[in-house]
Amino acid sequence: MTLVVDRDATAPRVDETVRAERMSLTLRVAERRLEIDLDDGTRGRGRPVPFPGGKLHYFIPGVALSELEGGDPAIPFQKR
Amino acid sequence: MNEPAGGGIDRRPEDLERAVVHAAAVLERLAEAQAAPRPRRNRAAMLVMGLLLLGSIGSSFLVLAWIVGGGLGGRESRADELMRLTGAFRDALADRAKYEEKVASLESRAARLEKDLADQKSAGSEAASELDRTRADLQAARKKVFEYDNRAIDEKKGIDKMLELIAAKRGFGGANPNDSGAASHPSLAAGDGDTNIPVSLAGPDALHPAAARALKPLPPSAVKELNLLLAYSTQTSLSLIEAAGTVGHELRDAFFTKYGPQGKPAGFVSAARVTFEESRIEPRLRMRLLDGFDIVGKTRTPFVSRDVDFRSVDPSDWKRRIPEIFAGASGAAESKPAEPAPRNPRSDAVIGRLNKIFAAHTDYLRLRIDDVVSIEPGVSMASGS
Repeated sequence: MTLVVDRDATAPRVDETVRAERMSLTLRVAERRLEIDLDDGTRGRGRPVPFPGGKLHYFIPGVALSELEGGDPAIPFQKR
Repeated sequence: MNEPAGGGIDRRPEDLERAVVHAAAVLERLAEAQAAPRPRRNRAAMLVMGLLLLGSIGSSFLVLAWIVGGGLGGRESRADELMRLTGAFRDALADRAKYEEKVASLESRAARLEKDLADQKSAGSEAASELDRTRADLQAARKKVFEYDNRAIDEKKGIDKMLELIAAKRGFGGANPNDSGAASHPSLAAGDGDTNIPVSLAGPDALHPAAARALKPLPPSAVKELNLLLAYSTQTSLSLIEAAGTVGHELRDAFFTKYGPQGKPAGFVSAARVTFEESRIEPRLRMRLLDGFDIVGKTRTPFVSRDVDFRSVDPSDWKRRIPEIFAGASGAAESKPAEPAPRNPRSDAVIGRLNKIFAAHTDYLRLRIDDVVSIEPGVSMASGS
């Protein structure tokens, strides 16, 4: 799994490329927050650096359940 | 200041006048008493009355003399003294006010200086603690650099040992043509010796026994030539360590060392398949790694495909030098890119849906999924719980 991350929303550019062996999605329904958990991977644009502790987490606020549920194919995620 | 001196006796002119009037009234009552008909008294009573009269007259004169002499004369000198004392007192008050101002000014200055001193002390202590932390971090970083140096040396030793082992076991690919590439795979040969390879090379498309039978060993000269090409014609720092062999003109189960900016080993790259293509437009060759892993330490990160371009090279020359892998390279690949590993079309649809969700929520950060090797069904089932 390759994930391109850009933290500067005002000027889109690739901050870093994240590669992970596994990615799982968890939606905190009450908080409308999508959590992305990445396991066993590297990050960085130049020399890839392993995740600290083997794990990396990202949060996307404001994601509703209706955005993930349904559809074909279904998006694999967990609800909490 | 208004308190009269002299034991509480008033010495003002009004008091003097009142004393004189009192003395006159006493004398008048005395005259009236002498003029009035005298009752008959005995001699002793007369004697007492006479003594009382004499005492009264004497005391009156004494009082009058004291008031006239002491009151007037002393009043002038005491007024001067009072004026002098008042002036001195006023001067003292003015001086005191000046000193009070000075004291207030000095107190405020002292308070300000104390505050500045306290601030400087706290800033100094913060700077000192920051310096201590920085020194500790520096020491830890130096230690890490030292550890990584040692690890790089160990990895290099392990690689050398593995190369020796492989060369000794199968004559580096040329000694036994019937030797199966899978059998020479380091992950399979690990039980025969101490290879010190951190992970298995088996990727998602591990060599199938049927494919293994079709393998042709890659001669060491081809490995050397390819490493020369990698070293001088690419921006990457890859070096081929070993490949199971070739099927057609594809390398199978190739294993590369990745070097860092300072030439130290920075990890490994493995690929189940390595194809080679030639550009029809410009003198360029391309090496495409398929279904592989980036290996840094004990971390294996999969990738679907990765291209390494050999720029400004003469493809025909390299076809002659390494016919085992470049003979099949043709310009057809430029117009029709090689197919990467077979991907599940449902994965692409999921990636598209997720990227749309990510694009709709960019307030905090922007994410985009570039590729996914596979989607585990277990996660999908868990989503329903």
